[in-house]
Amino acid sequence: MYRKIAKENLKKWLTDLKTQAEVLTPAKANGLWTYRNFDGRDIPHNFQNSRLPPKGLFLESLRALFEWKFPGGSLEVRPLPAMDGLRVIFGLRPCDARALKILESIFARDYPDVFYLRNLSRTLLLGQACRVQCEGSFCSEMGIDSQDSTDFDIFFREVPQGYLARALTARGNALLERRDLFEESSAEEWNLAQSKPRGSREQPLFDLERVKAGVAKSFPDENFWKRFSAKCINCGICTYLCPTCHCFDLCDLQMPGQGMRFRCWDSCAFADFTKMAVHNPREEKWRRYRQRVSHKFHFFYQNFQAIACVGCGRCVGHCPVNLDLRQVLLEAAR
Amino acid sequence: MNSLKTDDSAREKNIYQPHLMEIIKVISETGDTKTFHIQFVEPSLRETFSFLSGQFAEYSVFGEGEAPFCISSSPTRPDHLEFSVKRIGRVTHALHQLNPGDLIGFRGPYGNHFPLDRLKGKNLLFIGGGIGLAPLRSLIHNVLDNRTDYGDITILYGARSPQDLCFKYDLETWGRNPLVKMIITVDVGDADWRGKVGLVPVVLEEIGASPNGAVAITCGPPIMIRYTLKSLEKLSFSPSQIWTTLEMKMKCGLGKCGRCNIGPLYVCKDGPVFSLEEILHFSSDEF
Amino acid sequence: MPEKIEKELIGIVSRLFDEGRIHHFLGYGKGTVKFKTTPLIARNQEDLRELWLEDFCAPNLTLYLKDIKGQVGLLVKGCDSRSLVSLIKEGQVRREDLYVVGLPCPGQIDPGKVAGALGCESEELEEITRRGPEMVVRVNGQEKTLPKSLALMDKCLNCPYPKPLIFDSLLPGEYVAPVPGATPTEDELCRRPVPEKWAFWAEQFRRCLRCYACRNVCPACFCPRCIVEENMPQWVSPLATMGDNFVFHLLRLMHVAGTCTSCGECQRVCPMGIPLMKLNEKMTDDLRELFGYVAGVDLDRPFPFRTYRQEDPDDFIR
Repeated sequence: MYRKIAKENLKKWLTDLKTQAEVLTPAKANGLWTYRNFDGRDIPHNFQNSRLPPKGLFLESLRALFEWKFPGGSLEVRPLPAMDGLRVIFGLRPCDARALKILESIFARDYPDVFYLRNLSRTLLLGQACRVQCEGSFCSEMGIDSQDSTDFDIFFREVPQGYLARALTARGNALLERRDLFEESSAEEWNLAQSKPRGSREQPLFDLERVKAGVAKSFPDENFWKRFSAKCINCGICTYLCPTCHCFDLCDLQMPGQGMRFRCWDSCAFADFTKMAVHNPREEKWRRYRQRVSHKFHFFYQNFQAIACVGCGRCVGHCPVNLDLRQVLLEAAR
Repeated sequence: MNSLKTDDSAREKNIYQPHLMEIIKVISETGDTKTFHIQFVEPSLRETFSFLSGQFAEYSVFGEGEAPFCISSSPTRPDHLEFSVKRIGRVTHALHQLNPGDLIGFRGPYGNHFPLDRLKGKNLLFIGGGIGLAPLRSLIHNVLDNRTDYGDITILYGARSPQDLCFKYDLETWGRNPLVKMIITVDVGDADWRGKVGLVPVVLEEIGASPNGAVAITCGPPIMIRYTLKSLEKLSFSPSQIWTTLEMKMKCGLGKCGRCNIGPLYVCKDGPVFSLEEILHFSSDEF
Repeated sequence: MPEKIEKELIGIVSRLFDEGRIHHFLGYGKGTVKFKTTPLIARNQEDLRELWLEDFCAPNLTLYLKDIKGQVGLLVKGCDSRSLVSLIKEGQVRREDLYVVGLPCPGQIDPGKVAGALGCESEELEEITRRGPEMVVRVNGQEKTLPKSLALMDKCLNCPYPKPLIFDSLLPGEYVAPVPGATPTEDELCRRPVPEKWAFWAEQFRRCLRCYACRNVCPACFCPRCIVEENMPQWVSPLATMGDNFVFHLLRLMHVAGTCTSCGECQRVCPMGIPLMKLNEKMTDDLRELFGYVAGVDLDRPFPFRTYRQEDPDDFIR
């Protein structure tokens, strides 16, 4: 279903949605782009992408799982509920939405994680086409179209008069039923509004198939991994800013008379990640770097037929030592 | 706008929450190793719970943390569960402070299991070292409880010293079993030790075992495993005839947290039981 | 920085490799993203071809002396040389093992400040070049100019030691001069009432991810096993709660007191933009006031926390 809406009406629509759901839109907080409660402000024109990926709204950095108490002296363990309440997030990017699909395969299989899945099911994803190619990004090489995506409930394209909207799910269709705000549109009008983001490359940076094959082949090449990882400082920035990274830790918080177990973000880049009592199979940082890249571009693909990277460029843009994943992939593909 | 509903699927179970288990017995195996006998607090779970030899569970000391240990009792003896713990880190230290009557958390069973159907009718060679006997023990009891399904059974078990021998009560029982060949060895004896002295792989080659119609199952410290595998190769065992458990740091046990990921496998999901053939198949120099 | 300085440096370092005097050289390479250089860890002459010194040489290369031991050559700016003094005093490196090349620094550009001053997003900046006392900035295709004082990192505006304190060779070049009118005023946050200060830092530490980039990039944090990695007992919870983040940062601040030279790397690399330098500045001010000590300047002056003087402010040991 295709619709269109004027800018002012979009704000009115989002304001009305607030009566039924938490509505989040891009906003600046503490100098960084993030998704915040919509307060009637204009949708920011110069928003490229959030510093932290929206994965934090689904796979929370801190998630209380269950608690224990000793009422009357005997131990009682009680589950803590998953978050509830409808949410609408407007202004998400195709890369981040694809990442949510990738994460879903991990959290839905075998033992479904109710915390993650409930966050997904209670949230409507409203995406927006990108106007600018983010620095360091290689989304199109990863098979993601910054102008079109089916990973949302509704996808929007900005046009001079306002926005075109394309509903992709039943829930999306239902939202667009506001005849007073949305007008009819068509696939033709949608296609006419196709544009290229500013700064996009003429030629793709690499061929993904060659990268996949190259990463797989490079696994035993110790020198390859040592060379690239030499400057890595083993912080968690790349993993925490990555929309597909999902490694977590389970950690107890004990207070007098009660306690809780949390699921919290963890990073395979940390030296202690695989440390056991007597042995750490990934003591050296080149092994950890090899594992990170190989897991994303090779092993995850073997399990889920998807590469655990959406080319958003956050790791490239914010690595403290400019360890550029693109360089590693290009070299592996040679 | 009543179409704005959440999609309430039936995925409500909290996969991270453990069941409560009561400790009913604590056995000091060695100076730093204890075996715990535990039972579900909830009586209905005692009936419904089932597992297979080789599987593990995540055990919680609330407030200290959670750690994975294999279930070392056999599914053929389901009145209670057993697991063994070496005191080495935070959670294991906390476990060692506990006594009968104390409650712990239990999540499981997780992981794959020893392939009983591949062992039926075969001659079984169990090779264990130190606390590595714990996962083997579940299988050994399982097999002995269905003795006629299997061929010859040989158990070779070793420890660093007589003080480090675990499950002495089992070793005695198996030693007295006429349908089992039991060999115990220590790396270093003491004044009272009258048994064999020698490293497990060396003793293995001494006793020699025929690979014909045989399967070897081995668990123990990494260095013992490495040399045992070499010895088994010398005895002409093929990789598909050798089974072991892989050790990798595990946390969630659910194949999600990423810690035990090695190659495309998750040790908590695709393991911890692997054949040597499977291990050689995925390229890794990581253990 | 003109090409001939790169050539001069390559000449020096090639000779060092030839003579076997060093097995690694730490320098800068061209960054693959705007306004950044990358640390270059050169192991031979061929690796030196990637050397690039034109601008944005902000990283503190002494960081790598934590991992790369032995005969190492490295580039240091004035602020980096102070980290080096601290590391030598802490016994983490031996002066005689190192070949130090001093790099004159005209002050490092802070793209965030430039964007703020021009009222645009950092992502919209296309190019920043120096022209005399000004910065020429291209934003969305348009050229704008900016006085240097609005473009340089705060720490550079009144750089106390522009010239490296230690070097074996010193490259030629321009040094940052104190910027007129940019006197360091005491951070006004210090003068606010405690509840306001608490609210400020609570908000900051709520956002901390515990990525540990600040700790890992810090030359003063050279402990092989950090206290947060200890879990028997668990001194600091690994959970990134506001309270535990508070503890982590203040603990780290006190642990590096006496060694931290306010090089500013912690703040530069923080992905959440937490103003960690405010903490460092307060700590160094207090250190100066209480002990008359400034870190990373005097190789011979003993550490304040490892020596006892009658005049020390603490009265528990008299």
